[in-house]
Amino acid sequence: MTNETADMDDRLRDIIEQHDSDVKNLIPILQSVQEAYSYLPAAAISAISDRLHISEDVIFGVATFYTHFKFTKPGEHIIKICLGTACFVKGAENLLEILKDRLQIEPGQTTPDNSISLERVACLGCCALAPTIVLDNEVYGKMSSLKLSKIIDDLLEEKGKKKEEQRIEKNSDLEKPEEKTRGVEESKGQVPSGTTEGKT
Amino acid sequence: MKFILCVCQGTGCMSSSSHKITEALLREIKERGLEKDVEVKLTGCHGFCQRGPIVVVEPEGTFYCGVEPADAAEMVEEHIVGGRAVERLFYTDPVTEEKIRYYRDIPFYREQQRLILRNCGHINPEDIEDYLIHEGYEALRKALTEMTQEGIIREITKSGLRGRGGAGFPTGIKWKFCREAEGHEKYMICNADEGDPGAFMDRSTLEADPHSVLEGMIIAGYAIGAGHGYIYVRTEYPLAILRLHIAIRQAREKGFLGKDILESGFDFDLEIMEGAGAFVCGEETALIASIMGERGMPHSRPPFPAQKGLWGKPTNINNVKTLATVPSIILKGAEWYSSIGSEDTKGTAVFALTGKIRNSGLVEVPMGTTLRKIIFDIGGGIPDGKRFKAVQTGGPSGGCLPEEALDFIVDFESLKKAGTIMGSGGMIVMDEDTCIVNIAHYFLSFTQEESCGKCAPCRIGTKQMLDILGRIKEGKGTMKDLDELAALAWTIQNASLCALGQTAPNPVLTTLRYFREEFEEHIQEKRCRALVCKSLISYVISEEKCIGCGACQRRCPTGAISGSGRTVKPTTKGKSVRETRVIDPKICVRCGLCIEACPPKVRAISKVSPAIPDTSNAGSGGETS
Repeated sequence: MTNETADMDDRLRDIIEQHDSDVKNLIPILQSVQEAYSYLPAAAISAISDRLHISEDVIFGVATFYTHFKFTKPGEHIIKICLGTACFVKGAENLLEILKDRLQIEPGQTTPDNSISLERVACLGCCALAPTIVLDNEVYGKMSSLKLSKIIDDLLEEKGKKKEEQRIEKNSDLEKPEEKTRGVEESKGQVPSGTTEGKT
Repeated sequence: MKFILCVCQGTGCMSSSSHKITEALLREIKERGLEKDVEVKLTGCHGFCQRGPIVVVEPEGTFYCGVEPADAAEMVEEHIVGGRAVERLFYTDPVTEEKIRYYRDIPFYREQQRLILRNCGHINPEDIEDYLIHEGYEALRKALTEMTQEGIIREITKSGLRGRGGAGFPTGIKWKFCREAEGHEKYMICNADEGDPGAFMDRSTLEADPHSVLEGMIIAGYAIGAGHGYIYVRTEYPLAILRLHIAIRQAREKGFLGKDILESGFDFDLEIMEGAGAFVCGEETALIASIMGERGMPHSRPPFPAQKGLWGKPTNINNVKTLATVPSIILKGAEWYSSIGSEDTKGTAVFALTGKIRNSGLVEVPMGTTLRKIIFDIGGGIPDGKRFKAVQTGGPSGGCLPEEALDFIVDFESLKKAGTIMGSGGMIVMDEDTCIVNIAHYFLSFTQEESCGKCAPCRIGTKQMLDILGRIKEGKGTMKDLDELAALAWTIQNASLCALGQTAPNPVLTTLRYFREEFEEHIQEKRCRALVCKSLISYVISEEKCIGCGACQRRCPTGAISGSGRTVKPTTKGKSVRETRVIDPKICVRCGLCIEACPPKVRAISKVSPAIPDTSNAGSGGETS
C-alpha cells in the first residue's frame, strides 16, 4: 500500500514537473494524470493540490467542468457511442437504448465486474460513417441494431470465457497464466470490424 | 515516378483500415520490383469518407473507392503492370448507376470549388516537402519580405474574408483591432475546438493539410504583432493533434517557426493546447479561460479579446478554415478572392454534408450556391427512395429548413434571414423518417447539457424548454406548451450572456416555424408521423406476411414476441399454415431489432402511430402506415 502511494507520488511529481509545476498548466496536468491512470484518482487530486498550492476544490471545479475527466476507474473495455447529429439522425438514440439494455448500465457507468464502460460522446467527427461506435479506440461505422447486438454478444461472450478461464486457472495449477491471457487479448483483436461489414 | 498511389489516411478511412491497404500495396509493389515506378503516398481526407477507403492513382486521377487490402494485388497487377484500370472499384453514381473512373468526373467533386481544402487528399500531411512543392510557405515569404503588417491587414480586409467559425466577423477588421491594441505582448490563437456535432471539416483540414493552417497563423501573428500562438484543438481528434505536432516540428526545422523567421527579424512560435471536452469552449472568452487552466466559462464583452484576452493581453482568435484561407489570399491577392462568392459573403464555404444523403462528406462550394445544388447535385439527394424533409445548418445553434427553402443560397445573411446560421458548416439532411420534434429535443438536450451554467436564462431556460419538448415527444404536451416554448425562446435569445445561449433556441424556433403541424400532431393526435417517438408508436407483425420463421423472436431482447411457428391449421388444399408471431406492446421496448431480423423478402414487421391501445391481443391490427 505504501509502495503504491510512493509510486504514485513519483509519477505525479514527474508529471507536474514536466508542466513546470505551474498552476496555469492545470488542465494539461490533469490530462497527463488521466493518461497515466485512465482516470483521476482522489489521491492524485490531493497530491496535485499539495504540489501546486491550490485547494482541491479549485481542482475539482476545473476537472468537473470538462467532460473528458473521469473520477472512477473505467472498465477493461470502453464502448463510446456517438450521439452527434449525423449519428442521431441515423438512429444512434436507439443504439444507445440497446447498449443500456444489454449492459444494464447508464452512460458514464461501468459494469459491476469492471469489464465494460459505456460512454456517450457528442461527435467523433466520423459523420460520413454514421452511426458509429468506438470500441477500445477502434471505430465501427455504419452500425445497425443487429450489428451492434452482435458486437455486444461477442464482448459478453469473451467476458464469460475469461471468467471461465480464471476459474480454471484458480482451480488447476497452470504454469503460465500470462500466456493464457495474452491468447484472449489476441482473439479480441479479431472481432470482425463493423466497417468492413458495412460496405456491402 | 510513373504512378503515385494516394491512400487516404484520414480518420474516416483509417477506421476502415486504410493503413492495411498501404501495407498491402507496398508489399505487392516490392514483390514485383516496381519501387522505381510507383510511389505509395499517405494523404489526408479526400472528403468522401462514406466511400472510403479511397485510393487515387495520380497523376491521371483514377479514383478507387471502397478499397480493401485484398484488392491491392489486383490494383498493382492490372493497373500498374497491365495498364488496365480495375473497374469494379470505380465510383458508381447512385443516381445513374454509371461507373465513373476519374476523380474530376465524379459529380460530388465536379461541382465543388476547393480553396480551403485545396491540398486535402493531394499532399502528404506528414511531409513538409510535399507542402513546399505546392506553393507551401510562399505566402509567408511574401508577407514577411514584401509586405508591411498594415499591408497584410489591408489585403485581408479588402478580400472580404469573414471568420469561418460561425459568426462571420470580417477577419481583416479583427486583425486591425488587435494590431492597434496597446501592449507589446500579444497572442494569436487558432480555434480548432470543433464542437458542433455533425461537423468535421476542421478536423479534416488539420489532418490533411496542417501546414496551411500554421502558415495562416504565422502570417496572422506577424500582422497583429504577436510572438506566441496557441492551437486549441479538441482532444477527441488524436490524429489531428499528432499531425499538428509533426507539422510544427518540421516548420521549426525549416525556420518557419522560431527566432528570426526567414531572416525577417520576426519571432513567432506556437504550442498545442488540447481541449478537455466542453462545447462552450468554442466561444472565444471561454476558450481563453480554458487555456489559462480555468473553468471554460465565457464572460461578457467588452473587453474584447483583442483588447484584453489571454493573460490579459491583446489576443486574436481565428478559426481553422479562416487561417487556411489566408495563404491563398496573400499569394493570389484580395481581388482574386473577392471575385468568388456572393454579394454578401466572399469566398467559399465548407460543409460537412451528412445524414440521410447519398454522398456524404466534405463539400466546398462558392458562397451563394443554393442548398438544392449542394444536397441534390453534389450530395446526390436522398437515398432509398425517401423524401427530403429538412436540412439543418449551423449545428445546435442553427435551424432546420424545409423543402421550400432549398432554393435559398448559402451565405451568412441569407441563412440568417431563413432563421438559421451558417455556423461552422455542419449540414445534416433529414428525410421523412426523421421526427422534427425529436430533432428539436435532441439539439436542445445538447445545448442544455453544454450550458456552462453561468447565466440563468441559458441554464434554467433551456432546461424548461427541454422538459416541454420531452412532454410533447411522449404525447403529453398541450397546445399551450407551444406558446410557452416561443416565450422561453425569446427570453433565452435576448438575455443570455454568450452565443451558446443566444442561439440555443434556434432549432426549436425554426422547427416551430416550418414544421408546426408535426408538433400539433404529437399533441393533439398523439401521432408521430416519422414513426420515431417511442411513446407514440407500436410494432406490429402482419399476419398475412409473417411466415412464422421466428427470426424476430430469437432476436427480441425482452421476449416480447410470442407464437410458436408450429403448424396450426393443415388446410384441405394440403397447404399448411404456421402460427404467426405476435408482439406484446407492454413488453416491447421498441428497439427495432425485430424489423432488422425479419428476412428482407418477408418484411412482415412495421411500425404504426398512434400507438395501439394497451390490450393483450394487440398486434393483429392492419393499420400499417
